[in-house]
Amino acid sequence: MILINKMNKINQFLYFGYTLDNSFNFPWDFNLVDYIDDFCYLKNLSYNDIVNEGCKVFKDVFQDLGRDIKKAILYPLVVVLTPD
Amino acid sequence: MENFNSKNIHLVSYGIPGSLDFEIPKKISKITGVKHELINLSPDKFEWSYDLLYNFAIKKNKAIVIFESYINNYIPLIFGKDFVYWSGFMGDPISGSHLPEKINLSYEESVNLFIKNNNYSKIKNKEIFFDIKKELPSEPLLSNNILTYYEQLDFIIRQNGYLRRAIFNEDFIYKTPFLQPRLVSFFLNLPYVYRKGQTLYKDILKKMYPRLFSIKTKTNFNTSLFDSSLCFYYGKNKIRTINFLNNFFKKNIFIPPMLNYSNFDEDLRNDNNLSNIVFRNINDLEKRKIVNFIDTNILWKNHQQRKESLSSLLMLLASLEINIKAGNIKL
Repeated sequence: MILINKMNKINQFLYFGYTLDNSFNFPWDFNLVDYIDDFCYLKNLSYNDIVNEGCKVFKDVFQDLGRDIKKAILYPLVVVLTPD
Repeated sequence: MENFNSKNIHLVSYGIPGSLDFEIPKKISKITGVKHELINLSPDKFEWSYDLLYNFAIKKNKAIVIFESYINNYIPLIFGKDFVYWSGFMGDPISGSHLPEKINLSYEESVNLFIKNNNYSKIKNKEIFFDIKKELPSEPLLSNNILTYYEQLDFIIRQNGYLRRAIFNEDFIYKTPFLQPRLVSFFLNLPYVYRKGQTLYKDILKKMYPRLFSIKTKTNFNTSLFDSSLCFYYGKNKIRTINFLNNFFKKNIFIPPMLNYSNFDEDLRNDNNLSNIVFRNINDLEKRKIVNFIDTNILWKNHQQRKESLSSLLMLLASLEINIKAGNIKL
């Protein structure tokens, strides 16, 4: 966690469209370094095998998250918030 | 949609008629049979209210561009707490859409690129923004080998510090597949070349959901992932031509297909709640005399006279004023 050097909220807002936080963190609540193994578990696979592995990961993650959910809203469907 | 009982799923999308955001979801709903709530953001259909925007700013407790964020936070208010809300937040950047062209950029080069790519207002005032670089982290959190420096800045500052807050309404339950460790680690462990252009991600989607991804997408310029590269370039150039003609004639002869939300440039040129809110708040901001390098009256007049299209900047200035009134920026 690194503190911002200098606070100038109006300039930040006018430049970025938002003000910066006082601390910087990744969007997820786990330690990324624990999950990065430099492609070790995939590196001996062919491209198609990696695609298949990705499909499996997708399916598992969506099914885990969807368990016990009765009603769901999917959004935004094709909306991009701000130009990339 | 492919994984669950479609009877219990609602799609929600928003935009204005003629834009891809508006038209493509209708096709998805028709093909899948999933119920669809389409929010028309045309100024005569969508009720903008200053009080709601002000209260929204207070609740957010951080200065963000108000208008777009309000729309996202408005959606769960329609359906309430009986539903769980699924969001694709971080899907694009995790899968590689924000990878820099060069993988070995130094941290300083990455900071410079991030600043260049994230100038929301497009204001070019070197004196005022001289120090903006100093306000970013002085060093990265991780090695470039684990995650590129550029993506670290994007994920931490833009995605987490801004978009996360802009998208999610804290009073409701969201499911975010692209924040799950297995998906994150799968994509971030891939070699650069497989993430570049989201190559592998698109192949996964095509293999898993061929029916859904045979539908045209906005990010593919109104072509599907299965279309040839010739179709892709045709779609891209068609959209470029429409934008060129609109710019050339200084009015929208055609609805710009890639519009996000609404046609704010035109909305602000007509008498409606949105233009009244923006006009009132940029006037209030002018009275404060805190943004002296911008003359809001001239900006407004140039926009109305079609000399320039300045809706982003005008709405940013109005957002600044609303955030000041809400106490999110202390003077």
